[in-house]
Amino acid sequence: MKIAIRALTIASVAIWIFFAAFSVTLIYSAGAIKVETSNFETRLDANRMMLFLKIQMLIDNGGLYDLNDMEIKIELYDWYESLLAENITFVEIIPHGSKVLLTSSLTADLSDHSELIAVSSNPLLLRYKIKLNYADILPIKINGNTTLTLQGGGA
Amino acid sequence: MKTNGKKILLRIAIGFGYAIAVIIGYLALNSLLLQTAPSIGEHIINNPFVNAFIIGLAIFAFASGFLRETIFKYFAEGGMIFFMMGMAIYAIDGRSLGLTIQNIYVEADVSIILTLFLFAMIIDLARVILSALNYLAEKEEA
Repeated sequence: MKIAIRALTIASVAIWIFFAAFSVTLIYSAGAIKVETSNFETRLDANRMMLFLKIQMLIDNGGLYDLNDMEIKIELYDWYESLLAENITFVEIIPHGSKVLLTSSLTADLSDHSELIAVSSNPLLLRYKIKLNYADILPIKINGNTTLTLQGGGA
Repeated sequence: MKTNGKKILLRIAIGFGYAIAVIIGYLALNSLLLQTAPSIGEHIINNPFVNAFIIGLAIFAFASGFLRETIFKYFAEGGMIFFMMGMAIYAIDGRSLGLTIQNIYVEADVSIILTLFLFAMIIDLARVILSALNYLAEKEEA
């Protein structure tokens, strides 16, 4: 019985050391990921009733683990929460220690939202949903939103 | 359990030593977290669930130290393992842990990590049960 107890003790200690080391490196790596979003580039084409939006995102994976299967979904809403446009960007892998510049472009047809063009300043809501697989074993979802102001053609 | 005043004091001191070791370990891990990932560290410090978990662990560690060299030590160790398993399962609540950092909601599916945690706990539980049986066998031989 003593041999079994010793074997279980060794296995238990080894698993706990692995578990503690993995947890610490996982949290350290999460803290080492930097995301920088550039200013949103918006362009309104009043004649064609189209809105173009370009977002650039720099992801610096300074951690110890890769970011896999990253899906970035961006949705643009008007102030009444009516969906204007959406875009999905997929990145297969961002290896650890590398930087990736992602560009998402949205094109919104405003022919049904002419009030956005008529009014001089319109607040818009940008929602983003990011799904990724971190360190191969940790699926993560990130949800957030931000507002931006569209300068319309009206006085 | 043969005890006199000095032995009880020694047991209390050892129990407190174990409990303080748990709290110092938690504080050391937290200070490390605050340096590496401040937003996650602050979330953990301000989380009443984590504080309750650490207090529970410290109580079980005290009991384990106080009851050393008796069969009740194994009861305390087994209780601590069940407490940790229960808290882990309760914390998961649908396999996901969510937290809000600077208006951004982050949700992580920790089912794989939980499985690993429970696996470690089952091995620990087997060790405690065998140790208790071994203790009883040795006691009987003596």
